[in-house]
Amino acid sequence: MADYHNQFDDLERDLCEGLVARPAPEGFAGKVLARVANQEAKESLPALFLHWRSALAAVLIAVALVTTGFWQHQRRQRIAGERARAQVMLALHITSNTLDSILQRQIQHPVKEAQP
Amino acid sequence: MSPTSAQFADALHRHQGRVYSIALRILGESGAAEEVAQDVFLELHRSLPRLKGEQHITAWLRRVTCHRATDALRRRAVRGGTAQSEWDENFLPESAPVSPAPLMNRIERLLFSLSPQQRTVIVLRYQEDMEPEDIAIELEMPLATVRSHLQRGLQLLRSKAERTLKEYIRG
Repeated sequence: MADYHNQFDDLERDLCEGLVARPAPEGFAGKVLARVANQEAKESLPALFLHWRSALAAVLIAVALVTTGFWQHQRRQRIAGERARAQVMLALHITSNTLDSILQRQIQHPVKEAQP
Repeated sequence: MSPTSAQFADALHRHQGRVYSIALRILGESGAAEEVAQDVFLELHRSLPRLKGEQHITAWLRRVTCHRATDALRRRAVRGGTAQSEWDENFLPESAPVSPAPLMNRIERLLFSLSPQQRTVIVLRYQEDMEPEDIAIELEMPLATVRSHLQRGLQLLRSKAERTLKEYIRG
């Protein structure tokens, strides 16, 4: 390391003096700032588009969920109604059969009126 | 102006000469150097939130500029552009701006007789005043390789400049 620094000769001194930073070309900073602004504008467009697409997708999903829920509710109500109707019909059928059998017994074995 | 934008504008104004000079001295062409320097600052704008402090920004700019300039040299070589590999006393990169300082012109002319790696290491050592250990860290290169590029580069420069440069400076 010490050798390395001791070897600092005329050429190295010339290199230090000759290799100072040059100024950037005229208008360099302005060009960079314009490119940054352009890049930011390009990047913000897809983000906005993505935002709108997400919102649209959310609305479509909500509509689909509401429609499906409504359809399921209607289906459940129809099934419940059909089941209640079937039960009423069965009850009427049983009642009708019971009344028929009572009537038949009455006809075949009339009930004597109770003696006072 | 947001804090990041203000920090970016500040970094741009303070480091534009440094970044442009590194790119120019590696590439040897002002148009290509300006393009690389602009790309480096665009990349800085994206990376700025991750960089903490002035030293970090400076080191980041040096490293990225060296890599982008080397990449540009490779692309130029692939496209069939000729790289100045043999020293020619009269060689001056075509579109390199001529500096009002004769020593700077002379040194830059000599630099283009070196390999890109030697040029990069010498620019970082003498323009940026960096120690070989720091150059090794920044370029992710073994220290021995950095020292070898530096010594070989200096040897070549010394042999080529012995007559011309010293006569010019002292004459």
